[in-house]
Parts: sequence; C-alpha cells; structure tokens
Amino acid sequence: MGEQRQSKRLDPMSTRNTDWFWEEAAEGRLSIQRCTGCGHLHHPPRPVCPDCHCLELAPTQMSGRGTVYSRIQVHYPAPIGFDEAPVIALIDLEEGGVRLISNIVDATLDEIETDAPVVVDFEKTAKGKSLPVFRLAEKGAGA
Amino acid sequence: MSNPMTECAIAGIGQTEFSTNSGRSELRVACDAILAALDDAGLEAKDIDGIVTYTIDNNDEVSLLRALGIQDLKYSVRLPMGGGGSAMTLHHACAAVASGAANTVVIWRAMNERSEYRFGQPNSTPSGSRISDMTYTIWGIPYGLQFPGACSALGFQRYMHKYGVTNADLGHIVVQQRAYAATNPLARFYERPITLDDHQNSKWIADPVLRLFDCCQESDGGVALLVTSRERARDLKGEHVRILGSAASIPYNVEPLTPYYTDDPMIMQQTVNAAQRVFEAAGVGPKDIDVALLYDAFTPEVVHQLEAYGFCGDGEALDFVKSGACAIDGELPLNTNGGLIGEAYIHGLNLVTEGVRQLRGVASNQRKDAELVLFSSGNGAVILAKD
Repeated sequence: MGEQRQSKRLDPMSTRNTDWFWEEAAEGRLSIQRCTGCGHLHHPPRPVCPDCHCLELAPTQMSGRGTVYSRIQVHYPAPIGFDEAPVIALIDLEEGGVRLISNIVDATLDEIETDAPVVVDFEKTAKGKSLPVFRLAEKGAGA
Repeated sequence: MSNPMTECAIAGIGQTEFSTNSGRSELRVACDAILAALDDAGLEAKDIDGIVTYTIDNNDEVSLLRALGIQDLKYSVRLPMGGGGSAMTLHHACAAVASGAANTVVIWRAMNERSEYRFGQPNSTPSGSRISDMTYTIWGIPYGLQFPGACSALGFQRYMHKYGVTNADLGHIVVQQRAYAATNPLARFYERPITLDDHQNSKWIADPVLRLFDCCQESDGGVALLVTSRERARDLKGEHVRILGSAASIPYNVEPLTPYYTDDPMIMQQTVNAAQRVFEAAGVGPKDIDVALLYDAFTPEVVHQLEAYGFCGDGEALDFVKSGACAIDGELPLNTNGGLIGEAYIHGLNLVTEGVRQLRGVASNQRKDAELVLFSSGNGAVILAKD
C-alpha cells in the first residue's frame, strides 16, 4: 500500500458521469467503463456507448498493469497539492485501448523508461478521496 | 461555377496594444479592437450583422452589441476548442457570408488574461473554471496536470522519445521567433531577442519537454477581423485579402488540451484533416505557401503543424527549423511577427493580422512578394491570398 503521509492533493471534480471512477478507487479498484452491449472499453467515461449507443456501461475492474506512454515532471508554476514536483504520466492499460492521466510515485524521472511496466496503487487526497496512481513494476510495487 | 466559400475576404483588421495590463475592461478591449477594424475597412458598426468568436472569451455577445450599437444581428456563433478554434472562426464567417446568412461578420478575441486572472497558472477550482467543460479539469487536476503548458508537454514527450529530439532542439523555434519579435514594434518582446543559451538557461516548466521560453506569455489585448464578400470588399477603403480556402476539423475523441485518447496521439488528426481540406479548397499545396503562421502557444504545436501540413516529413520538423528554412528569406518564413510566443498570446487571432500585413506588404518582417499565407490553429486553417 502507499505510504500514508499527509496528502495535500486536490479532490477530483465531481460529475454525474465520473463519480463512480473515484468510488471504485476508494474500494481499491481501478475500473474502466465497459459497454455491456458491444464490450468496448471507454475512457474518459461517457453516458452512452459511442460505438453501439447502448446505455448500460458498467464499471469493470482492470488488472492494474500497464506501461508508460509518456511522462514529465512539472516544476513551474508549481502544481497545487504537491510538496515536490510531481511526475505526471500517460499510462496505457494492458487491457488495450485505454490511456489514463496519472502519477508515477516513488520514482525519479530518469528511472522511468518509455514503455516501462507499471502497476496501480492508490493515494488519498487531502479530503480522503482515493486516486489510482502507478509505481514501476520493477520496484516491487504492490508488495 | 465558383465555390462561394472561396469568394470571401478579410476587409479590415484591428487590434489594441498588447501588454501585461490593459487598464480597462475586457469589454472595452473588445470594442477598441472592433472599432479599429471598422476604421481599417471603412465600415460602421451598424454594418455588422454577424459575429463569431470561440470559447474562453469572457465577453458576452449581447453586451458587445449594446456597447457598439449593432442594430440587428443575423448570425452569431461561438466555436469550441479554445485557441484551437481560432482559425475555424474564418471558416464559419465565410460560411455565413457565402450562404447569405450575413453580409459583414466580425470576429474577435479580447482578454485581460494577465492582469485580471492568470490564464496559464495552475487551475484548482474546476467547478468555477472558465474551461470546466474540458476533460482535463476532471482527469488532470488531482494529478497535478493543471495548466495548458503541462498538457502540451505530456503528449509531446512521446514524440521526443520516438524521434530522439530534446528540448534544446525546440530552442531553434524560439530563437527564430524571438528574432522576428525583436524587430516588430507591436510585439511584447520587441527588441528582446534571445540565444539558444538563454533558452537552455530558462527554467523548466515540464522536464524534459518545455522550458519557460517555449511558452507564450499571458497577454492583455484584443484583435478583431471583418469578413465580407470579395466583391463588396473591393469597394471598401481597406486593402482586403482574399480567403482562398478555409477548413475546420474536430475528429472523434480529440479534445482540447488533453488530446491523448486516440490510438496514436502523435498523429494530430484534426490538423491532418484541416490541412487536406484547406489545400483542396484553395487549390494549392505546401510548396505554394509564402508565409506560414502556425498556432504556437507552446513550441510542440509548431512541430506537429509543420509535419501535418507536409512542409517536412514526420519527425523532421526540428531539423527543418534548424536548417534556417523559417527565416524571412528561407523556404518557409514562420510566425514572422514573433508568433504567439514572441508577439503576444491573443489566442491565434494576432497571427491573422500578421498574415494580412504580409499580403499588404506592410509587415515589420516582410517576406518579399508574399502572395499566399497559411494560418493554422490545429483544428482549423485558412489560406489568405493577395487579391
């Protein structure tokens, strides 16, 4: 589990189409919307499947494994909610067709190779909401 | 029969000074720019029957009508995509004029984004945000992706990996544009050129992609453009330029600021589509363009557009710039007013005023015998021609 240091992270914006994502995270699940009609995964979420227009889209737990599509460290202007400049990454999930904005925690920018395998973990916001974040798999994440 | 979409013209341009503090309201800035454009064209406010702008501008259309005394508006559009939509405004103004929906369309942008608020600073209040309809406020803010520069950097890092380029390579774009700005009295960075060392010594915004000098600077100011038919423009006071072709594209799953969700985000599908359509509409190709004005809030956008328009091959844009091709006597003079990075960030429209000046032969950095100018804003494009 992630360290329980005092978080300053901002809460995610609450919307009727997206609150379930963070509620799943609070239960320790990284879930993505899957259409019950055609089976396609969609992210960011939407109220209708754009492929078959099915209205039943179910949060579906992912393995939590992925690879690094790209990563940066944002220094200035200092992002709100962080003591140290955060490493922000695009993560491609192994299920395919899903790319997430997230953080890679407990790794320096130089340690993170493009396409490096990562696994999900969870961190809290200042107000106690849960966010999926990622760790380098080779560093024994999730142990 | 000729295509009525290619029979329109920019009949007048107007702008305010570009600064860090306009000292007046955004509505007043908008009025100043529009009145200047009317004066340039030799038109009056009562002639305006169409208005077009794009998201993020805080001025309300009805307030603008009331302030200027516009009598009866027939056509009003506010386009999506923020600055990416800036070139789409001309496409829609042409559609209005070509269809007869309106005769005289004004396009504007007017903001005090430096003195009244900090447009490029971290955004922590998504619910009250001017750009709360963009998904980055939901998915980016808790992770520290909180301002446009960081969004640009996050996608472009993949390009740098793919083609083996570094931030120092991006510096060549900035040095060229700041050299243009240094000799443009309208520019925020007039008489302030930089070297590659200056670029490399500027602080990191997002390591390893963007430094401070890769970014446009928040600016107060306004720009306005007047579009009417070519036929009518010929009878007006101002020296008009023809809108030889225009295009717009918002492809599936492409969104502003965080266009990460297509299979290959290194292909800017919106720009590829706009490029193909604008060249087809104008009946010209990349080799015919005398001056390119490419939306440059951040240097990576220039790279993607140079490649999408076929000015060079994929992965070759930075070598192209380094070769000197973008100098005033080069193969493709680029952002000759200094661009948004060097002149001011008026969300793209000040690249159009520069295009008109190039075709009128009155630009500060004049391309000799410029006859065809391209303006691209990612989601849209126009080719302007001497008429």
